[in-house]
Amino acid sequence: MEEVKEIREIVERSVSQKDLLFTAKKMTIWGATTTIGFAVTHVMFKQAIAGKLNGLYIIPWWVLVIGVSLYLSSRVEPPSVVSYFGRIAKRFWMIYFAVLPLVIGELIALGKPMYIGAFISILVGAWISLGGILLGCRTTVALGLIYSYSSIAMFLYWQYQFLIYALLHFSILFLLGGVISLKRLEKGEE
Amino acid sequence: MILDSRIRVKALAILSGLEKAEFKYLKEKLRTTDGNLSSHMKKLEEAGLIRVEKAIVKGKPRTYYSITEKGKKVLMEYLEEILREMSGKH
Repeated sequence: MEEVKEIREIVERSVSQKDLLFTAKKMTIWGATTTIGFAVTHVMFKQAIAGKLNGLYIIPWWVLVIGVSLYLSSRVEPPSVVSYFGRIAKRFWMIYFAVLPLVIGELIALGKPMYIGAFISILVGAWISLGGILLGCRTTVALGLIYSYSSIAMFLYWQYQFLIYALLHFSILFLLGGVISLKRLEKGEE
Repeated sequence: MILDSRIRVKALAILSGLEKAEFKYLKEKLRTTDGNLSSHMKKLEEAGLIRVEKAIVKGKPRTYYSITEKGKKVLMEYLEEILREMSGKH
């Protein structure tokens, strides 16, 4: 019975395994590029609501940000382990970054600038939390909740919504993802 | 029997939850040597329980392993057999 229990534990652990160094590098890249992406979006957004810039220019800007992120990510050595959950999570993030510029551009074009951040963060937050529940990852669920709750601040201080986004991406992807993965690696954790 | 070795059983169990894993990763998880792991993985490959994929990454050779459908089936049968034996004893 002990052997069966041990095998079951090995299988359960392996489904969510990840290469921590690879994860840290990826998170650092995406954290840094999207933080810059949102900071510039904040400036573009202010120009757009002042009528000095077409809000749809945010779409090509984000195409550039995502393109640069993908290029830098492709330079990272492939992971030593690929789990099924890791593959799902990767697709999840790709969809998020692909949809993001379209939603921002659309909402600016529709003349609803104050709802953009709140709208995206509620939806994305719920989506991330759902993903976390499905993958059995408490950190991802917490991340989703932080995203959702940030919609309150984004709605109240809507002029700074993209700066709040930049702060979220910097703290969650860059600091939590990148730095903490490296710390865990140093400690020899899985 | 192919699964009469603990390392081979554990290697199959690790791979059953993964899409693929590199040699280095399995070596760390199984706490074994290069030579020992190589010989066990070769036996699993010859039995058709795992698939081997070789790649060159930044000029360095890398070996990835993944479990086959037959490998999953054999692992399940092995676990069922243990459970049957256990229930027979009680």
